Amino acid sequence: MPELRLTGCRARPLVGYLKAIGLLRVVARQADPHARARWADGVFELASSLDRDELERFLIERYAPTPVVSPWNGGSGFFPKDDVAAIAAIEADQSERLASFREAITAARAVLAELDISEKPNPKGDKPRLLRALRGSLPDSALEWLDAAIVLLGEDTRYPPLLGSGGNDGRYDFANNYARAVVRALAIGADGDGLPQLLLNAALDGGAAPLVKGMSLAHLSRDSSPVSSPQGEADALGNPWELILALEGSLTFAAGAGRRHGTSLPGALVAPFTAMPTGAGYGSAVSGESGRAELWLPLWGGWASLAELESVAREARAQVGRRQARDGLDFVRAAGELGVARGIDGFERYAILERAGQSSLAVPAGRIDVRARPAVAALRPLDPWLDRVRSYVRAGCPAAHEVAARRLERELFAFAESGAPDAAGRVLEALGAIESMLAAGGRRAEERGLRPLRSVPAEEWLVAADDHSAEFAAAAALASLHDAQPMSLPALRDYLHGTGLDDRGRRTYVAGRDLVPRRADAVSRLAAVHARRHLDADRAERALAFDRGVDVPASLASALALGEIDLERATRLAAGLSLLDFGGARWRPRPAVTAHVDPAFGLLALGWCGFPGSKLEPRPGWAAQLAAGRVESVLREAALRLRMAELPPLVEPADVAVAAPDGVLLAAALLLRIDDRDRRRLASRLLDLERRPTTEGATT
Amino acid sequence: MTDFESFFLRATGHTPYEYQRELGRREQPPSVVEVPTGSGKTQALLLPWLHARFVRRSPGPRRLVYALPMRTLVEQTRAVVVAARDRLGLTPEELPVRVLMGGESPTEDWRQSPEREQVIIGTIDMLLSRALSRGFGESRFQWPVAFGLLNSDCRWVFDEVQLMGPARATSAQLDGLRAKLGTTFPCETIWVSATVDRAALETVDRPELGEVLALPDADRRGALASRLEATKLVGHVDLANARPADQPRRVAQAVLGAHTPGSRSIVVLNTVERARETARALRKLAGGDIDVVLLHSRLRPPERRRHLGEALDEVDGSRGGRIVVATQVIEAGVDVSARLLATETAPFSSIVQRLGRCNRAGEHEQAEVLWLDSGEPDRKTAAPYRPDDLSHARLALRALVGRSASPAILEALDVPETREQPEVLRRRDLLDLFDTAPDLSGLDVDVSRFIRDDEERTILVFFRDLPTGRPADDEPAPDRDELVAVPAHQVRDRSAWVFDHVEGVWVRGRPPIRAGELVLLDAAAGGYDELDGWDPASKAPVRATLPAHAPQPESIGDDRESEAREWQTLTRHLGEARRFAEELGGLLGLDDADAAVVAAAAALHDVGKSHPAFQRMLLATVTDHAERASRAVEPWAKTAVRRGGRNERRFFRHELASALAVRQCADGLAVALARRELVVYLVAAHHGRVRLSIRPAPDERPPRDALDAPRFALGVAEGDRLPAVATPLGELPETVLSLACMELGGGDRSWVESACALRDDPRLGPFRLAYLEALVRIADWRASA
Repeated sequence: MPELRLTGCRARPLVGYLKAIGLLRVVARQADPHARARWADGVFELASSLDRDELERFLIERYAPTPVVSPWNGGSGFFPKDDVAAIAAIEADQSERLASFREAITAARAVLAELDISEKPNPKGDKPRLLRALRGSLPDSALEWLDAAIVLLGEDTRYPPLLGSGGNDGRYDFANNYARAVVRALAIGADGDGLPQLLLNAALDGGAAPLVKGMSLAHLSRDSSPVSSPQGEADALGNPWELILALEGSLTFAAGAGRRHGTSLPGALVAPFTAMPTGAGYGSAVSGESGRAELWLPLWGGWASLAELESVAREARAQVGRRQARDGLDFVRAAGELGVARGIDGFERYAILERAGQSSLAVPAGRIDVRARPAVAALRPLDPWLDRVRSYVRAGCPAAHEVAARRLERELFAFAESGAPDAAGRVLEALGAIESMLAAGGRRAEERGLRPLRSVPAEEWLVAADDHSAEFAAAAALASLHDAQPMSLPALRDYLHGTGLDDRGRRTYVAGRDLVPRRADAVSRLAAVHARRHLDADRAERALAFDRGVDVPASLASALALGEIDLERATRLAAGLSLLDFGGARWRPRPAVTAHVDPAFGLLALGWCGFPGSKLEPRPGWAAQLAAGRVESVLREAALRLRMAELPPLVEPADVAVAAPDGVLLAAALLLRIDDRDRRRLASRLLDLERRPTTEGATT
Repeated sequence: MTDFESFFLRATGHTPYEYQRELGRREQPPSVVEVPTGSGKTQALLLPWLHARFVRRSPGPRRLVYALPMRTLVEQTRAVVVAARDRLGLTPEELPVRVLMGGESPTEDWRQSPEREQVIIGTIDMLLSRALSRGFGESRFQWPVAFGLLNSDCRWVFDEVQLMGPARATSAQLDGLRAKLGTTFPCETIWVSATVDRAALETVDRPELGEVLALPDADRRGALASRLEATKLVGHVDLANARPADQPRRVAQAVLGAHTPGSRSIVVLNTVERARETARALRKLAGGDIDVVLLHSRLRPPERRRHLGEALDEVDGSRGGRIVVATQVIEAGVDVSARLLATETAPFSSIVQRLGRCNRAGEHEQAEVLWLDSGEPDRKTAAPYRPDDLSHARLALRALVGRSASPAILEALDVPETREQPEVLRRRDLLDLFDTAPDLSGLDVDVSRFIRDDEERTILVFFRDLPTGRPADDEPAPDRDELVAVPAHQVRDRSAWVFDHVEGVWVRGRPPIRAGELVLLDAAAGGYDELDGWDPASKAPVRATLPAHAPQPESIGDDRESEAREWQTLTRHLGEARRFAEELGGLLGLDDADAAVVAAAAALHDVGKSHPAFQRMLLATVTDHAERASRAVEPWAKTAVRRGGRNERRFFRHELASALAVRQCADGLAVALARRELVVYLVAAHHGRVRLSIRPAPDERPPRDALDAPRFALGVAEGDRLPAVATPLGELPETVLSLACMELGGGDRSWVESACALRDDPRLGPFRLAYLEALVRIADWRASA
């Protein structure tokens, strides 16, 4: 079986992709039912009984174009004001290869006559009735076009974006242009001048050809020139074979009953491989153009037959868990969760943009690989909240919120595409940012049904975003801090974002107020959190330190105190992580930090919480004092307190104070909970444990 | 008297009308029988078929499928058929009469015996949804069986065609497509009605209507004349100024004013709500002497039977009489006649039908029609009809007021009515519907637009007591007597439960719920009244019934058919299945090639049960260590212990393992396998879960003991090893399973490519394929019983 590599048929631009599918379709249907095709490095390969010359001869001499008629569109060639030349030429032709085309035209005319429709039908008037009648009576061969261009749902009509608005794009009518292309490419009513072959070769293999005037391919290959006439760009130069094969290809993407009659697909999504736009993953669009939809066109590397491709296309399964993919983000997630037909290696993504004047562009938006990215499943619990954010934005919100939401979408997309920890981290950062912003906005979000994120388990995100950096470990440890009895005191997230609890104990953006300054640097903010926590806990007569959380090695906390950790990033991560539910999380940090522990920090840490077997607590003002730079004084008080607990330090506060880290950094670092082993180690290094009362029991 | 006439006499107690005689004379029935209600249509269609099958023993469809537009007609039709059967001395075993309603009915499974004569009666919803492979109220795994059996070896009768809406085009298209795509045994369709809109039955794939048998003049002049000439005087009740809330009372007053004690009156309202309120008002005003019976579609079968019985019973002339308040359900051929008929404005064709319920046989000297005229309609008040249609009907009715309206007079009137452009079922739609995979993985396909034209999607609800606030883990599937069809939007605000066929549990149903879905409602929350039927506003707890011994609904992963009455070795089970398949093939008279394929598929269908995961599941049911050890020496097909059939590998499907093994290793069998791809397909499809494509269950993860397998689906992983299995066709050698074929362009020939080739093969096609599929499954059921 000859295998042809057709360099003119590439997955980009859109016309190249569709042309390729069109070739498989016409060859399999009309020349060799065993034909197969695949994609290799973005180029289409066709294996059939035809070699290159036979393929050309088949197309030029025998190929019978699939009937494409749109008697519901103005400009379609069926109404008095239309250019009717092409349709008339086909009707006048006698050849066998156009017999089914003629049959379709006759059937269409019969329906128009029966319904007494003689001019372009009104969308609100006769059009639905006409479409139904056509779907009930066009020959099977012409039905494919109708089903590809239009989906009828009861009284509702939906237009798959691939073919514009029901087979037209602005004033450009695909069907009439197709008819013109057929007349031209098959030299209907004309003597062969050899031009069709030249054009065909250019369409198959790429390369230059004398293009034909007045032959446009609309958005299938559009640059940014304006559209003004029913013929499309009147002066446009084009290759009729490209349009013919591309439209043949588009017929493969007619929705099957599974999508057309599925009860769970909204809007234009009834069309296969179509998604609502997600403004992420490609360079931002030209201004004045809005995203209308996305196409996710499958690429596969095994030799597949037309029947297989049709079967895959009619359902075009893309699932996130049990849910059907709706937007670009869902599609990229489906690709990472293997929720698509097996054998698809990737998708060529196109954004269909709508320009002023209603014509559209198909902008390539990258290729997305299909491979297992298990971390992506972490997105699922966020879905309900993300839906609320989206509808909040759709309903109109402050520009800054919209910007934050768009950034979040972009980060979600990037994470879904890579599944990598750094991308997951950026999602967390974006989540934190939008939460702060919503809390600052107060009542507005709540009134639109958007409340603070909750009930999202932290575990999956800890695993997904852990890049083994000290920053992430510190962020996770900070974010994990909470009280065994929540409700009565603000949680860490409330300090970071300014949220609060309402009368019923539910977290809200409304009741919140800023407990710590919003616009300070990360270190100051964390130090302020610490000071504020002491104040709140003291007032409520509760333990000053958070009593639950992920423990970290002392070296990490010390490194933070010494300013060796990028606290800005850690705090941004913590702002996102703090929104998650740490109950039941088993994740433990494994940061790549082996530094020596600063003695001043060590002494303070022991004064803050003691060590296993010897529990201590800070005094209410300590954190604030540290933040104010009074390091030595706090060190002295801590030493005194240790001594009173019969745990005299082996170092002098004044000595260690000389080289002590900055007070603000210390206040921030002391928020962290140090693990038992390291606290014991610190104690044996910094304290004279010999003099401990024996009743306390020995520690090792 | 001819043989048929005496047969007819014996079956009915009277001699046939001329048209009935004519139907009995024919070898091939006409396409359309155009006769009025009350002229013995059911008998006219039943007896020629019975005579052909039981007396003349001529070939022809084994199943008579009787499709009716309204539930109220189903019981009535069944009664006529059963009466004829009993008079003919046929036993229920010789001629089972099945009513198809959705829900479980273990004792009356029409699918079990395709080789026998059967009469199957149901509404068009139930029957056409099954013929389109999306059976309402039916397990999705059973859809292909019903599709196979209803599209082969059946004589379909569609009665009261004028009420069928889009189902007219669908039934015609199905008939045309069966002819084009081919069926194993012939299928026929007969449409029956008083007036047939011929254009509605002429469709793209069945452009010729075919022969029409109209009522011969002999019948018009003879016995049926009194019906055709029966008169009724039309009166007018002006309700144009009545407030909507006050209308029920005003209607009740008007009806009571015109009602004659000791007789039957019928009041027809356009909506269930208005019918219910009017019945309540009548009960309040009428006092105890007059029976008020409410009849509509939203009743459970027991209540429906009771209400219908009460409506139809002879009226005791010495008492106050009876007032039947009904919705459109009365329009179809319910065999009832009233002295007084009151009706709201309706499209004129409906008015004609409604008036047909008044003085049907001319038994009353002074029959009366009351037109309840609410004035010029708008979109809201006209619902469920179009305002235009009602306006035209009003004009016609106004001209009739004060005059007498006989069927003959009404027939002569030409009142314009909107012709809906129906959604036509096309070949590509049918081919898509043949594939049930979308529904197994999350797209619920709704075929109701091919069946009904009302925009309202109906679901089948049933009530259960939920002491814990949610259905029990083993909550049984509903019995058909529990089900009531209601508009989906009316349960939107309630907590409604649907069965999740993936997880195997009842979950909260999220709108939109698919038409025909079974929906469980909390009985404590009310919603149903035994007198008034479905009433979303009713708060009183519903008396719920729990079916005895009903099983849970089926889920993807469950394999309860592997739990039988006794232990059965795999080899024995394969042998039994083949024996039943051969027997079935013989009794049906399948051609040799088909018979051989069905037998081969049955002989191999369960070889995948030798998979270690499956054997462990069966042996895990044995608690005794020694017994387990002794059983472990050979592969088993069935255990005698009932445990719910959960495999260690979630979603494990043995039939997928079977099919892969046969696909890969059939060359090793002693017998050469003819039509191997077909056999492989039938093996895969024998539980309705693996058909045109192989795909993992939604959200399926790789099996724990095969985490690195490059491919997996339904609990089967690439590289799984099946031991050699002794089959009736010789030993199937040990197989290392490959799932390369599940991919697009996978392997030499992918699964989808093979399966589509069968579907598109002109010698097979979807109907034959599904029929063979059903036969293999039936042989398996028999071997498992």
